[in-house]
Amino acid sequence: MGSRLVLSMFLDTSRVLYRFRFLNTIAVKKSLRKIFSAMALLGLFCQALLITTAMAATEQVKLKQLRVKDVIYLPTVNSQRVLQFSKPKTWNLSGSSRIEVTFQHSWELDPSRSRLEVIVNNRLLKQVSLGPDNAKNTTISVPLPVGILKDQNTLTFRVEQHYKAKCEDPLDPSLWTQILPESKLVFDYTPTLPTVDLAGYPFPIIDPLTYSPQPLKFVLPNTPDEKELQALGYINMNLAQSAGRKEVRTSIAHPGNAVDGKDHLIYIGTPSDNSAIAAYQGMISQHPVSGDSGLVLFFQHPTYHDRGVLIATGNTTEGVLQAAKYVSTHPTQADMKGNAVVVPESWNPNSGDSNQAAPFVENQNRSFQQLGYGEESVEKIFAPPINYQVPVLADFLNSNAKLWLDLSYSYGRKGGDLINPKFSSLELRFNDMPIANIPLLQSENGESMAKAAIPIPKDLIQPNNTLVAQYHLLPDKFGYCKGGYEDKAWGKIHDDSTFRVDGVPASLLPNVGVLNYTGFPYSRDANYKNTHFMLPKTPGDGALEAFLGITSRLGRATFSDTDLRFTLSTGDSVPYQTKDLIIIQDLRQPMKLPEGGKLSWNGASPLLKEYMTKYETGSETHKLISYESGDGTYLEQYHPGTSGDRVVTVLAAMHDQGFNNLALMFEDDDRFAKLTPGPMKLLNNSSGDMNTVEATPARVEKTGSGAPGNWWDGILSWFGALFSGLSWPLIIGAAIVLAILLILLPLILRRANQRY
Amino acid sequence: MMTRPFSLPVFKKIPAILSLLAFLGGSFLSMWAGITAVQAATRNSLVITMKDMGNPEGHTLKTVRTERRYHFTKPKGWKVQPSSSIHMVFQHSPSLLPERSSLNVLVNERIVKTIRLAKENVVPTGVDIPIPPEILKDHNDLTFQVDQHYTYQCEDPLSAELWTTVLPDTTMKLDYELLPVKPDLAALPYPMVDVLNTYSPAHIGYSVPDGLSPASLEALSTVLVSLGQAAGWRELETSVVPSGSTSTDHHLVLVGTPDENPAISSLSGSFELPLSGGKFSGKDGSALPENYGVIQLVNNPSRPDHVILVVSGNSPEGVKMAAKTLAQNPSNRLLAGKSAVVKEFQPGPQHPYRAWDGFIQESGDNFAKLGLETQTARGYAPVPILYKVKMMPDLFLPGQRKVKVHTFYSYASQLPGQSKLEVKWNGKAIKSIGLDNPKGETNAELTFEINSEEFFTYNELEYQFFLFPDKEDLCRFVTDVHIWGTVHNTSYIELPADKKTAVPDVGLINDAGFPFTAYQDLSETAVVMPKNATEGDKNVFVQTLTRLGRESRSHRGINIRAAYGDNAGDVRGNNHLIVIGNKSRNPLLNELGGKSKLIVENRFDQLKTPDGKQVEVSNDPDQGIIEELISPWNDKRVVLTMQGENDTAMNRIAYLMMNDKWFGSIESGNITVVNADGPKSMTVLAKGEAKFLQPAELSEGFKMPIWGWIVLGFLAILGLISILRFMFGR
Repeated sequence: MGSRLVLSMFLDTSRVLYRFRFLNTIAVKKSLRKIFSAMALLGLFCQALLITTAMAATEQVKLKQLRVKDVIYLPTVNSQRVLQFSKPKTWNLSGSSRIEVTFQHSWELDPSRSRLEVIVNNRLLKQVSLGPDNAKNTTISVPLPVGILKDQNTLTFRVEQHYKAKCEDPLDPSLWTQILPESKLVFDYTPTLPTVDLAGYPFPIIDPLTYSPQPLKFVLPNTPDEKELQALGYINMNLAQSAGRKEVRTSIAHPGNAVDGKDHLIYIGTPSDNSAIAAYQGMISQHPVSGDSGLVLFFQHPTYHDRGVLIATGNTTEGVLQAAKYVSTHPTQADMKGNAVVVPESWNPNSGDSNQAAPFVENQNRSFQQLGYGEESVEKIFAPPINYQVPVLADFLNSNAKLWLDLSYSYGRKGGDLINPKFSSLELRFNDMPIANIPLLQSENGESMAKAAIPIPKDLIQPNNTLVAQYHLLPDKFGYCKGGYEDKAWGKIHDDSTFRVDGVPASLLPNVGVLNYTGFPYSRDANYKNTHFMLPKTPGDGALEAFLGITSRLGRATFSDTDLRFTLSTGDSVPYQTKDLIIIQDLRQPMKLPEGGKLSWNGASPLLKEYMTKYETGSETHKLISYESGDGTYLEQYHPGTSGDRVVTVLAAMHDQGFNNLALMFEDDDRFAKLTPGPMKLLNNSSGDMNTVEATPARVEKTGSGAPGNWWDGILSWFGALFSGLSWPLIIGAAIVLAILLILLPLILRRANQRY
Repeated sequence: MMTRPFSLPVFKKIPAILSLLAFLGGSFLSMWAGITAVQAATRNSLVITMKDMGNPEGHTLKTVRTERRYHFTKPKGWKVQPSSSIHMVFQHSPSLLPERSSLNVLVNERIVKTIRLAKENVVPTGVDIPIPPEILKDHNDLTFQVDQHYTYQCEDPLSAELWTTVLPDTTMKLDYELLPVKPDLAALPYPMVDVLNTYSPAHIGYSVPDGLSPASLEALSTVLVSLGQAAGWRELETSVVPSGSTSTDHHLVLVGTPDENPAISSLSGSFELPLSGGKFSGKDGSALPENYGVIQLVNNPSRPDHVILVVSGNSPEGVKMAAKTLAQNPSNRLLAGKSAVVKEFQPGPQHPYRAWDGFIQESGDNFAKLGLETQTARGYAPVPILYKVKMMPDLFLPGQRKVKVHTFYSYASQLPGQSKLEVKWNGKAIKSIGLDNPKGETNAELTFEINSEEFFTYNELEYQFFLFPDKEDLCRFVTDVHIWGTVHNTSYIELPADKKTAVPDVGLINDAGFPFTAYQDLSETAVVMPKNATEGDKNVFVQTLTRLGRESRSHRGINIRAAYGDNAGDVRGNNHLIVIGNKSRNPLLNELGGKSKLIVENRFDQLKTPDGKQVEVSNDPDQGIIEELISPWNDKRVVLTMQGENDTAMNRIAYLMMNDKWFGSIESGNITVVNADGPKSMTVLAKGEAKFLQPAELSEGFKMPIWGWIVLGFLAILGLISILRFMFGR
């Protein structure tokens, strides 16, 4: 824009100057000609520059985008960190692309023996000697070899560092280098147009190789019906499953709304419901459909060529749903290719039941393999820790159940010197607390598939846990310094290692915060077959965006090996369901919720909310507060009615902005991370923070006198009130006197009776 | 036609003119930018010293490698600037090998500076280290980490030659801008109390107008305690703002109906819920019913960087309902936006009796119940594991008994015989054991005894691991990365204590507000104010309730009662009472009869000491007098009187309640006299004027042992049989 402005200013100046041509001096004419020629050349140059600038683009990818929290710390005599990075398919990288590495290191390092290596796809790109001159923050630029880049690539920072020539402590704390978070990958590229074909679906709508959130705009009928909404949910959740760890940003549009080239477009509905689809009538008519058959069109946007368009349509809404089911089924259908597919009415995904185990520990055992981890090996004295993220979505603390880690491990040496059994050990830490230290005493030559059963202390178990296995493979005390020492020690953790659940743990639910950990409990089934969505009778755009937000988040949590199977309905009240529910509650048209919730809304006023709570030990419902406010966005989870198993999650807001904030909370990873455990959350619309609302917040609840619970508690309480202030010995004394009176009274009366 | 030749110099001048214009424009823009910058950047600066961080004498880092961590926060309303820095002053042992010794300074996990410990910095040396603002989070750690050696050969890792000292001149300077304040009920207690601001006291002004109805007085009491609880241990300075005024340098709280509190009416133009004719309306303009409560949070028109919290309604009952909602968890967690209309409120279950977070409530309570975590120590010279052990003030430990601490601990394998675990109680070593199982141990138990005389309400328990790797050899490479020791929070304490407390004792209030905070929601506590309170009385009222709030933490709501002295019949029977004023202002003090020891109106008073002697006590009118006595209306309750002849005396009592140091120095005794230099306590009690309060008497009502019920049941059956025999004539 700026360059264009400068160019037009130049051209305007040239035109003005040319008006001076009546100045008929030859010298002036010559001078003017020279000026005009120069300006014309300059204009051409600027034009060329503009075109080049318009085509070329630069993307800077910082370490944070590669899932590095802060600095990369490289300790010990030898260590490395491997990062994954991608090259989007539509980028034609130029040779000026580079890696800018900012680092610092211990000044004690011996520059003659210490170095930092930058490696891409196992090719060494740069080797830097680590000496006093670059101990403080130093940045180096390393050209990216664009020719060797693939879709997925590895970037490795590796150090070899020493502080003295021999007999050093290989774990000495003075051995460190830090790669700082300012480091980045700079991609200079020219974008290329994507190939849009169902065989490659969902690319380019979803490209997991990109670095920015995927922008998706769903164009819906003005009043979509249940089938069309279910189609919306299927397509969105499936796209999110494909996006995986990449964020998506969804939005809603209707016929007549302007669309721009920012988003990929997904049209859902029949042409009669959704006039925006009718704009593609020419394409649709080439693929006639009948009855409840569906039609899927997938093509390049006619105006914005780098954007894809997906249309799920049909003559009926059943046909639309059929089309949506078709594109959202795994594995992908064999005939899904080209730009259009007619999905017959009779088509059935027929994908059987899911064979996937939920990637978390709940009531059943989970092997490391089921949790997504393979066999992990480390080597040598400086073996790095092996890290595992272990979601445990059950309450062990308040139950008799126990959690065990049945560890399967091996260690040994590939020739070389012996491991010293007096020193070496395998340490296990759970949430930073040591839970076991297994001495590697069995044999100096190591062991294969050794087993250990390690109890996990209940107080350490959280919904999201980190398990660290740290091998301390230490040589004989004289070994490391003796001449010609060969460190060939190794250790392995096998993927058949298992978290074993002993007994039946209590449920963590209701707890809206555990959605944050793999979409629990809805993701117990990867195809969401036990999930039902409930939307308002006439959902507004806000409610639909919240629906897209939650389906995106659930989709990103799992990858189904079948078709998606959640159900959906709209209405004023929630029909009886045997499934877990997710309810989008628009407080402007509140629906009657299943009983059991703490939060309910009185339909008398759009702003009126009532907060209901229950005494912990009784069944009495107790209204705590009724208040009015123009703001407020809530998430709540509870067990409906008397059901102890199913859960209902309510996403409620009283205006579209609130729903938009909810959707953003689900779609943005940083905001979603703020969703902490608790049965109910109030979303602060200004900051995105969340207040936890707990009806029974304190563990101290059990230590004192609460409200009446059982009937005998009531009686005792009544007695308590009656005799309040009296000591029990006094009461016992009074009771004895009363009892004696009762015994004596009949005798006295009888005597009196006999006498008279 | 003569044409004027084209004058080239004109063209030549164009660049010069353009340059001049550019220069002038640039200068103007720079000036403008400068002015704007000055306007926007109302910079503040905070300097945190080693004293603030808990080490006024600095800290010496000993042994071959060790570190010291200091926790600090970034307040919510701050935008920290890049000019923030650490000014570190240090010195070290001259024996250190410069090429093998270094000092790292870390902020969180980032090394922001690494310093070579060489000859040139053996003497005190200062160094400035910038703090990158982007690495600061809500909670942060500043770490000094040292790795130091004095020889290449046969080095003793614990040698006295290995030391580096971070000197007391070390400071951390945080430059910051204050972020604009956006009123939002969802964010409360922020900005009135920023729980991340641990550096400077929060300031809140309260308007206490004359003529508040009893219901509004109770509402104000509720808000005072509630905001006090929000601040907790953080300093909170409260003040009484002149009635009707909203111009203050602090955040402001206005409680009452618009008629009762004229300051509320003065804000009518600022409210989301309109106020006209002394009545609030809904957003749609319809008048709100009398019994509705109103909560509004607005920017102070005279200080937009401060807020005013308005707790009001169209009637005193509405005001009370609004205050209760604001204080009630979880209702207050549901409020959002700038205003809320409370239509109905019913109190939830009260906070259970004696359920104090983090305090031992009965024998056998484990560390987890006290909120203490399992902790691990690693390496040769690990940082000691420190626990703060607190005991309920109503647990009475008779002399010559032993408290047993059962500690569960674990340690790594491959530790030789010289590794040990040492235990210290309140700074004194009391137990040491060897860690000599070569396979290590998990959940081993260590039991040690503490004399009951050495077990206080607040105690420190320290576990120090001394860990040495197997085959420790000073002359060979042996690492310490694999050795560790852990203390588990399943450890528990066996207390041979009775649940009873000797009263009256003003000093008990120093034990977290006991007995007024026995219920952490202040149920069964009432404050009695004079109808015509002086500014001093109001100050005592505000500071005392704020203090009781800071000393307690309710998981529910606040249930304190409040009344005026001329009409305290409702509250005096079943509550601990706090009576403010003097006899001329507060009639309830007259009703205490002769029970009160010091009669404030007299300059001299006759007191009878426990041994029966009469003593004459001179009374300075500027002295504040706090006295506790057993309530004449309920001998299981106490009355705390706060009296002064003039406002100087009352303000001294108020200061005692506000100032942490003064408050912490209140000693045991039934009378505390507050002089200009602090409080002084004395015990002047006659026989029968003291007793033990037992928890069962206070709250748990009727409790009889099982055998009592069996005897009672047996007698009842006997009586029944007897009656039946009589009725049926046998």
